[in-house]
Formats: sequence, C-alpha cells, structure tokens
Amino acid sequence: MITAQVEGFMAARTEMEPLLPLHWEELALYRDKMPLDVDWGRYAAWEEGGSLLFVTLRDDGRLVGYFVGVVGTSPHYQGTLMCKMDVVYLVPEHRGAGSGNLLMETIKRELLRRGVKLWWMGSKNHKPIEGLFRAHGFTQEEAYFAQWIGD
Amino acid sequence: MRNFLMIAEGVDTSPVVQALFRNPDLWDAHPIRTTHPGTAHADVSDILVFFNDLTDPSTVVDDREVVAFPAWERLPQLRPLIFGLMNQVGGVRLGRVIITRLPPGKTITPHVDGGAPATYYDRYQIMLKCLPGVQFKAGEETLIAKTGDVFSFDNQQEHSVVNFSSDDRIACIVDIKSA
Repeated sequence: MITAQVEGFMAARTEMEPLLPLHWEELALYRDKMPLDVDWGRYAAWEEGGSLLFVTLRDDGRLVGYFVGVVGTSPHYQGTLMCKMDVVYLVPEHRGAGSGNLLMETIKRELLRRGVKLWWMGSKNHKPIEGLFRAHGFTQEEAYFAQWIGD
Repeated sequence: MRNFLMIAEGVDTSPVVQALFRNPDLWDAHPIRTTHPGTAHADVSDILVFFNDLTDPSTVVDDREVVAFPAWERLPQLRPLIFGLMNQVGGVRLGRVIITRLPPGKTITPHVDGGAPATYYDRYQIMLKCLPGVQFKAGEETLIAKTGDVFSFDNQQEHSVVNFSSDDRIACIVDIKSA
C-alpha cells in the first residue's frame, strides 16, 4: 500500500542514498561535468533551522518517492511564507498510478498547516512533469535559463 | 539589542508543556484578549493564569491587581518557572500571567500595550515551545527565540510575532514589578 507522510529528512538519509544516483542519472543537467555530491551538512542545517520540508511516498514502508522543499520567506517578501521545491522524485515503477497525486495532496496539506502562501515547483525541460503541477492548480509563472561557463 | 533583554536560556519547560497537553480544556476558557474588536491576538489561544478580575471588564486595561484563575491550580508546574523568574529579577509583585499559543503560519499583529501591563509592570516571556521560524519584533529589532528562552521586552514599543515555524509557539507571559 502506498502512503504519503511528512518525515525527518536526515533520519531518512540511508534510505535516500540508493535513490539519489538513480534520480541524478535520469534528471540531472550537465552530468558529464557536475557529479552528484550531496551537501548533507547543509540539509542538516536547514532541517535544524526549521526550513526543510520532506514528504515521502512509501510502498509498504519502502521509500519509493520524495519531495524536498525549502520553507521560508524571500528577501523581497519577508512577510509571506513560501515553499520552493528542492527536488521531487518517484521511482519509475510507481509512476502513472496516482502516487504523484497523493504526494502533491500531502505536500499541500502540510504547507497549508504551516501557513505557506506561495508554493513553487520546478520541471526540467528534458523530463517535464508540469502536467502533474497543472492538474493541481499550478500555472507557469517564470522561466529559468542556464549556461555552463566552466571548463 | 535595546528592546529585548535575554534573562535565561535552556530552561526546562517540558513539565509545563506536558501539563498543557493533559489539560486542553484550559485553552480559551476566558477569551477576553483574543475576541475583543480590533484585537491583535485574534489568531491566538489563551490560558489566563493570573489576570484582572473579569467581573468588571472596564478595569481590565489599567488594573494592577490580579486574581488567580483556575489554571493556577491546574498547572502547578508553572510555579518553579514563575517564582524562579521573580527571584531572578528581584520581583516584589506579580501581575498578569498568560499562556498564549500561536499556530504555525499565524501572526500577532503589530500593537502597543497599554495600562498597568505596560507602565507599572515589566513584561517577561518564557518560551514554553518555540521552534525555529518564529520572529518576535519590537520596534526595529527582531528576536529569534527558542524553547527555554526567558526574556523581557519593551512592550511600549510596537511589537508583533509571526510564527513561520512548523509547530505551535507557546509562550508564558509574566508581568513582574521589581523593587
């Protein structure tokens, strides 16, 4: 049975570690130049500071998906609590069966409980999931551009 | 900081928090602070521990004399905190004692305190539960407090609280007159 729940991020680190390379392999940009190198210390600091939201999907307890978001205010809008997606991932065998919807609903419920007013999600051009976001009431508001300027 | 003075850190508030958990009916038994028109405390739940005699609400704002409410007997775990604080600051008279609970995402809107709580007593706050993300502003200063902090602040400055943390912010307000 698939369940969605809010959890502690660092407590789930050992479960995350096998999934992260799969996530990176499928979705990361500039893989030939930018290896996966997770800054666990930074995540721990965010969590200790109260700004990390971690929502998981579990299949009979096994971690099969996750959302990591940063909850806080913007320097432009210090009175408005926002959540910005860090990463979201669902293992391929659980896609297309409603698990994404369950994840989104659980995230939103927690964000509403926290008093978040504005929720940002991101979608990669080469692996778009904006259909999920639009189905949950999102509209595209911005576009980000990137250029590798290293060696 | 000029508007805040830290008195203590790391105070063990768990006995009081546990007692509050066991006595949920105490919340909002006397909602005078949170329901009057224009209140800054509309998002808050209160437990009055010591407060002015409510049989004459017109005297509430500028009344130095307080009486014990039923919560004083139901929450004996408060006594070491309150009497310890009075001893720490040389207190000779106890005024209002109020436990307030502000849910996540909610705000105590900007306001200035009036009457005896502002002009006669010094106002202290004991952070019974305060997770990262709570901002207490007084004047131009912002205090980021945590569970177990005890501080005084100038409540004649405009002040407000916003709870951007993941849980309720529960504070014990203690008015003390020092010698």
